[in-house]
Amino acid sequence: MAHAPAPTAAAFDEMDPHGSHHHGQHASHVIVGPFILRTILAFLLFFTVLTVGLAQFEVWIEHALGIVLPWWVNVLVAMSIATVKSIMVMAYFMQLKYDNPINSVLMLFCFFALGLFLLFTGLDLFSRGSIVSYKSGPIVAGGTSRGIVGANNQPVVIAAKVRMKEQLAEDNIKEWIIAATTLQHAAHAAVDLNRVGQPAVDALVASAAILKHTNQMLDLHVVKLHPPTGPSQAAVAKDIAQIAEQLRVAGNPAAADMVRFAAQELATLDMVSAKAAYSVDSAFETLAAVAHGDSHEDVAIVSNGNRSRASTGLSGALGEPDAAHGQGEHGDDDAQSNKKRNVGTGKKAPVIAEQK
Amino acid sequence: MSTLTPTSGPRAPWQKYKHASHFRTAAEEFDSCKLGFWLFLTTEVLLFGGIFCAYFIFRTLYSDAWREGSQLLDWRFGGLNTIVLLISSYTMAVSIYAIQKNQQRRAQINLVVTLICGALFLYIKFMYEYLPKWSVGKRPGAMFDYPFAESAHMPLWWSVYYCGTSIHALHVIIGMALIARVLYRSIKGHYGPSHYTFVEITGLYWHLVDLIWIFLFPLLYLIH
Repeated sequence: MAHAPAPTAAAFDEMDPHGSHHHGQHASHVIVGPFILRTILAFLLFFTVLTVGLAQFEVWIEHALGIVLPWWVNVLVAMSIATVKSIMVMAYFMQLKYDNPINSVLMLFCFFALGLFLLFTGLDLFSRGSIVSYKSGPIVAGGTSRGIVGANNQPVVIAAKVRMKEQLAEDNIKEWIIAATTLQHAAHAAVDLNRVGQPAVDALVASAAILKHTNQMLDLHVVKLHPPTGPSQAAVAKDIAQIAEQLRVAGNPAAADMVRFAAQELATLDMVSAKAAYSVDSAFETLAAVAHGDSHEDVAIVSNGNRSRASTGLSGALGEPDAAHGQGEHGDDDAQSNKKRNVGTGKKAPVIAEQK
Repeated sequence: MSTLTPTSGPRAPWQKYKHASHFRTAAEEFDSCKLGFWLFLTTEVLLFGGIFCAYFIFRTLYSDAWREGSQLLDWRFGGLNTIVLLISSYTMAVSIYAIQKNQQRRAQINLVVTLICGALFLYIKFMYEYLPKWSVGKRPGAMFDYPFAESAHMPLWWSVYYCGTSIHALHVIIGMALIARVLYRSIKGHYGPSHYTFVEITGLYWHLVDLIWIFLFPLLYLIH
C-alpha cells in the first residue's frame, strides 16, 4: 500500500540509534494517514460483522439443519477472527508496524506468556480425569495402604479396624475391658439406686468417680498402646477401693460406700464366664463410644431421667436389648432393674453379649 | 485550517516545549515514554489474561453454566458496543494524525468524538446490559455471591461476566479521563507536531481498551 501521507521510517543507524544527529524531529515519528486508518477501520468493521454472522450462522445451522458442530469450531473461528482484528489494531492504530521493533517484541512476548499461562492450565485441566495405571494401582475409597506394614493391601480404615479387633481379642486386654465395663455398669447402678435427695447426689459423685476411672481405662489409645499386664481385675478393684477411700476422707461416706460396693462387685466378678461371653465387636463399639465421649454424658443424662442416650455404648453392649431401643424416660427400666438384681446379689456376672 | 508550522506570531506552548534533561533529544524522550508505556500495556494484557484464563477454566469444567449464561446476553448490544469502540479507536488515531499535522481543531473534534463514543459505550452497557439485570436483582450479592443463581455453577459465569465487563468498563472510564485531559491540554495549545507524547500514550491506552473488547465480545456474546 503506497500512500503519500505515510513516509517510511528512517533506516536504523547503529551509530545513532535515536536519531539525535539529525535535526529533523520527525525522523522517528511516522505519520499514519487517514486513508490507511479508514481502510483498517473498514476491515475491522467487516470482520466484526463476519464474526457475528458466523456465530449466528452456526446457531441457524443447529436449528434449521439439526447439525451440531463440535464446540471447538465456534471457539476457533471466533478467536481467529479476533486475533486478526487485534493484529490490525496493533499494527496500524497502535503503529507497531512503523515503530521501533522492540515494542512489537514486547507485545509478542506478552502474548506468548499468556499462551504459556493458558497452555499449562489446559494441560492440567484436560488431564484431570486420566489415571495413569502404572503409577496409581487400584483406586479404592480409603486408600490402598500400600507401604503400611501389616495392612495387607486393604484400605487403611479397614486394616486399622482389623488390627484393633485382633488386639481386643488378646487375653489380657479382654480382662481389662471386662473389668472396665463392669465398673461402668456399677456406675449406672449407683445412680439408679437412689434418685432423690442427698443419696442421689452421692450416687452421682460415686458414679462420676468410677466413670472417670473407667473411661480412662477404656481410652482407645491407652488400651491399644499400653496393653495391661498382670491380674487386671484385682488391680482395678484396688484402684476403685482407693477412690472409695478418697470419697470417705472427703466427707462423703454414702458415696464411698457405693464405690466400695462397686469395687467388691468387680472383685467377685466371674472372669472365666465373662471372657467366654466376650464379644470383640461389642467391645470395639464400646471403645468407640467412649472415644466419641458418649459415656461421659451418661451420668448427667441419667440424672435427668432420660435414658435414651445412655442406651448407646455400654449399656447396649451389656446385653440389655431394651436399653438399645430406649426412648423416653423409663425405656430401660427393666434393664435397670436387672442391674439392680445383679448389684444386689453380687453373684451374677454382667455379660458383654453378642451384639449383631 | 491546516498549517504545518507557523512562520510568524507568538509561539504556542507546544513549540516552547523542552524535553527532560536526562534525554539527549525529544525523539529519545518520546521513544522512551512509548517503550515504558508498552511495558505497562503488557501488564494490562496479563490482567485481562487472568480473567480470560478463569473463563477458559470454568467454561471447560462447567459448560452447561456457560451455555445458560450466554443466553442471558444479547449479541446485538455487544456488537453495537464493538462498532462504537472501533470507531472511537479510529477517531483517536485520526486525532493523533491531526496533531502531527498541526491541525489542532481537527484533533480536538476527533478527541471529542472519541469521548462521545466512549460515553456511548458506557451508556449502552449500563442501560441495556447492566440495569436490566440489576433491576431484577441479578447483581453480585453481599459477599460477591450470586444468591439468585439456580444452578450450582452459574455463580461462576456471573463472576466472570461481571469481573470481565466491569473491569473493562473501568478501563474505558480511565481512558476517557485521559482523553479529556488531552483535550483540555490540546485546547490550551500544548500539543503539536514536535510534542505530542501524552496524546500518543493516551492513544495507546485507548487502543488497548478496544483490543480487550475485541476479545471479550466473542468470548462472552458469541461463543455458546
